Amino acid sequence: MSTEKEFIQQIKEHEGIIHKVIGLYVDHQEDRRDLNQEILLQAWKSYKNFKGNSKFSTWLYKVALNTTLSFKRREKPIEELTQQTIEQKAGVEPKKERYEILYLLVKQLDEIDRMLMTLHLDGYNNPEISEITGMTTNNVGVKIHRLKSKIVEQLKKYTNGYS
Amino acid sequence: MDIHKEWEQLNNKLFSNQSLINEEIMSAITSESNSAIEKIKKGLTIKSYWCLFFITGFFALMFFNRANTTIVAAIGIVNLIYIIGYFMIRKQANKMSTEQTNEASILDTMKRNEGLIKDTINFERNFFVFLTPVIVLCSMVYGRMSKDEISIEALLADSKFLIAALITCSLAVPLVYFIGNYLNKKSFQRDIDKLQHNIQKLEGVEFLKSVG
Repeated sequence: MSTEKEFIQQIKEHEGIIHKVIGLYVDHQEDRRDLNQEILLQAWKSYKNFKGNSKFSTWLYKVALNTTLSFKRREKPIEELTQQTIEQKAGVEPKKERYEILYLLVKQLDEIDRMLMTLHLDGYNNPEISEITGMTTNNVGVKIHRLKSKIVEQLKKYTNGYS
Repeated sequence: MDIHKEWEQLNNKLFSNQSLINEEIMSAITSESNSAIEKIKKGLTIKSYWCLFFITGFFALMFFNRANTTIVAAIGIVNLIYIIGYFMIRKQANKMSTEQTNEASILDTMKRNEGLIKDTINFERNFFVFLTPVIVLCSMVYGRMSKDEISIEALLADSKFLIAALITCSLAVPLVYFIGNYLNKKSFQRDIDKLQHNIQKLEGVEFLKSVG
């Protein structure tokens, strides 16, 4: 199988990672399209360095997060998800599902915390997150513990009264 | 409350659909990059082409002035600097790469990117600061010698000429330095600040500060 075909197949199998990272970091449709292209381009350029030592999904996560964190946004105001916005969104009819509120809560975290929480929720353990991000395992553990407690507390608050 | 279950539901509902088509992937992998490093690389490549253009021009000038060895020498010095500059710019451009290696973590990649951007900015500024007085001096010598029939010895003994050269250089060098700094800040300061902020966060510096 040619490298291009192999790459396309792998990307299509794991495209959810790209959509998730883009959705969590960028709001504007045009920026999302640009970032999608940039991630695919960077993944393709780095693909020759992918030796298969780690899972393709882990590698793609690294490329997607790296590209997203250095993505140059245009000078457009980005909607900040404040507590007030979340409360409004959580309270509007029809009521948002719990997973949708969780999505909003992760989105309101700052860039690095968002990355840690996403990796954690996607099932990566602390040593794996440490390897992906470069943070120390202890630091990852403490940060995730704090973030998780905060998210659970907020999720309980906003979903109180229905399940 | 199990937030992992909620997240799984989120993955299934929002991120499981296969929407990318082969053509879309193919068109993306041949598109132009928008990253700061790729842009700097492109800028450096364009500058290297300009260097080639000037080098060719200087060689032509040297050829047409071949009867006057002083003029040839003055242009030759500038040309030599441009030739050295051309190779240095190419070398710097070749260093610029956004390729992610398998082993590099996000923190490593960010540090590398920050280093590359800062290195290039400093390299360009220092290069032009060094180049400016040489170009100014050689241009003045060339201008004066092609206008008047004057020998280089007489020109270098002309105190008015030397004072004019000194004043021009002492105005041009800081000007180039400040303009270079301003333009670099305007173009890349946001990227550098963002990188530094994220590096600090990943290194846990802010976190350690917050817990005392």
